[in-house]
Amino acid sequence: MSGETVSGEAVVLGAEVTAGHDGEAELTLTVRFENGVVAPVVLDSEAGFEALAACGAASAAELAGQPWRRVIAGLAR
Amino acid sequence: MYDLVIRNARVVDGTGAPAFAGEVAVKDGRIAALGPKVEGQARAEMDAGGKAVAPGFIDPHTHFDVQLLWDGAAKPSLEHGVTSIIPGNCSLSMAPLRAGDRPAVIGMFQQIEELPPEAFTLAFDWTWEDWEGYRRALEKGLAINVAPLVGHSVIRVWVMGPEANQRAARPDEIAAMQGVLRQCLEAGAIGLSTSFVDVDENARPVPSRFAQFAELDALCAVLGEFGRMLQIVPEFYDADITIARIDQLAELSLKHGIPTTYSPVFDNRQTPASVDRILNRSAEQFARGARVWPQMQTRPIDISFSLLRPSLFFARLPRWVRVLRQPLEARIASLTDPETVARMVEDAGPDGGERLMGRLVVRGGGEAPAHLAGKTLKEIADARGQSCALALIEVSLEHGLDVAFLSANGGHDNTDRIGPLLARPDVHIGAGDGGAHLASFATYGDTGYLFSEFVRGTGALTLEQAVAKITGETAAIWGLKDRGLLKPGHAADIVVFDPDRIARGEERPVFDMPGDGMRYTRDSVGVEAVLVNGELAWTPAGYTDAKAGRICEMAG
Repeated sequence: MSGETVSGEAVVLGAEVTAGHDGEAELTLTVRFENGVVAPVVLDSEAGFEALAACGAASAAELAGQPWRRVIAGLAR
Repeated sequence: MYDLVIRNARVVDGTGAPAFAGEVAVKDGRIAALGPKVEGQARAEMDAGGKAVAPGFIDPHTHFDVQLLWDGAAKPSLEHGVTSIIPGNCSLSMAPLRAGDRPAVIGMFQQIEELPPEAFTLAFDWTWEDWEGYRRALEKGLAINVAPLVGHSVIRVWVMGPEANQRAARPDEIAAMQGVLRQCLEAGAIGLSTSFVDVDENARPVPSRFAQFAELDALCAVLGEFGRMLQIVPEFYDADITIARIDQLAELSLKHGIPTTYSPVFDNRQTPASVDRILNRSAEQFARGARVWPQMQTRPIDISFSLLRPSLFFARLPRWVRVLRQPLEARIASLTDPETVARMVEDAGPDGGERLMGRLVVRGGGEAPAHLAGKTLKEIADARGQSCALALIEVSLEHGLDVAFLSANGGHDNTDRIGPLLARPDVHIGAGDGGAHLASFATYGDTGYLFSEFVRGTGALTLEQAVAKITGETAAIWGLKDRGLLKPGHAADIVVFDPDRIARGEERPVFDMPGDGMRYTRDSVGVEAVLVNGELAWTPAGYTDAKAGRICEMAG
């Protein structure tokens, strides 16, 4: 599933499961921001599940293509 | 007459200088002489058998604050060759703390250290409130040397009470915190720790996170009076924020003339540029004259989970995410529904989850029977004649979902890459977290791992470099007086180890916390004797009765 992105807005390019310092699995998103910079954003377990839910993503792979604002909205809940 | 001479030694003195065949003499708890041949008699002799004789290792990032009150050896640190530890990291310490504020601080400790509640009620008498009292309680039974930090969060609680984790401090409160910090430093605290990340048991930010920069600056002014260390936990999950914190630390270091350190720093394949950017920023700040030490751990990071709580380990698998996010009752119902389980197994891939899950290791310590502990899921699945995915579900169900699985080497695991980083002169080896994360993974044996992986394995460090990194250099970074070197006049903290064997043992659960609480631990491998202040504290036969540990004095 891909989100409806507005031209030029920040977008999630991909998401991978990574190991956090405390032994929890985390999600590392690769985000392309409005200014063109591509950078990783690490979400802990709670935030990762919130991001999945906010984007209606069934798995990490479905976060690719989602607008970053939708992830942010999920984290703000 | 010496108290002890260690003969037939490969002396590695902690300076990084080449090892040499020689002897080390001890008298009155200090190194009395060393060289190719030490003349004179001794009350006792030890034959090192040609093994390495080095200064005791120093662990600069631990959370043994509470354990030390009933276990003065900080087991199992001592048996790994660690003779000095620095607790009180991440803004938390056991003093200063008024009796009425104990519950709040206990909650923070339980969150970070995963100690059972009984650790605070059964294991020691809570006899102190101020730092001096804590020091007296601590000194009673130490077998290991301790150089404690005082935590910013507890100083805030002391001054601000329940509002410590609600708001910024007023100027009068900041002045009061300065006074409290000064008292702690005068009574033996070696520096201050703070955190920009940690949370309490209710997932609320710890008090130090409510401090504005003016408060930290004021506290660093007090550290400057003593030339003492500021330790911080930056927002390590984000390289850009960490770099901003490095710049902030550099300003504090330069302004107040203090050393600073931040941890953890670790490498992940998914964020390959981050660690270089972070270390290079520290190097730039060192070039300006600031002291901003990144602490990097040696061990890889493992992912640990059970089906009791949703884990992002399954984030690749849509049906698993859906099921595991359900409340516990509904989750169990789904996991016992054949149709749902069939779809989950299908979701795990045509190999039944072997690629993704086959190398998971069942950990002991939960409800899992001992005969499964240490086995891979593939081994268990084959024995049951099931796919890995089905075996994971059924084994979990058979034990109330309380079966912990370990995905080893999930991060910071590329030894070819990490070795050269550890070898950098501007990288401080530490961040081991000894005494924390008790029920999640073992935080012990990082020193053995340094030698097995990065000296014998990749050869990124020589034996002498590795020893210097965790002895002489660590003592110098922190300003510990007369520690970290085999040098006449220095404390006789000594480890004898076999450079060809030293390693960390396999992780295993033990139930040695108060109230039979569980933690994961690792035995040492290749360590043959450990002396603390000249007294034999540990051999492979076990711990001795020696209680020669001290609160470390500071240089200058």
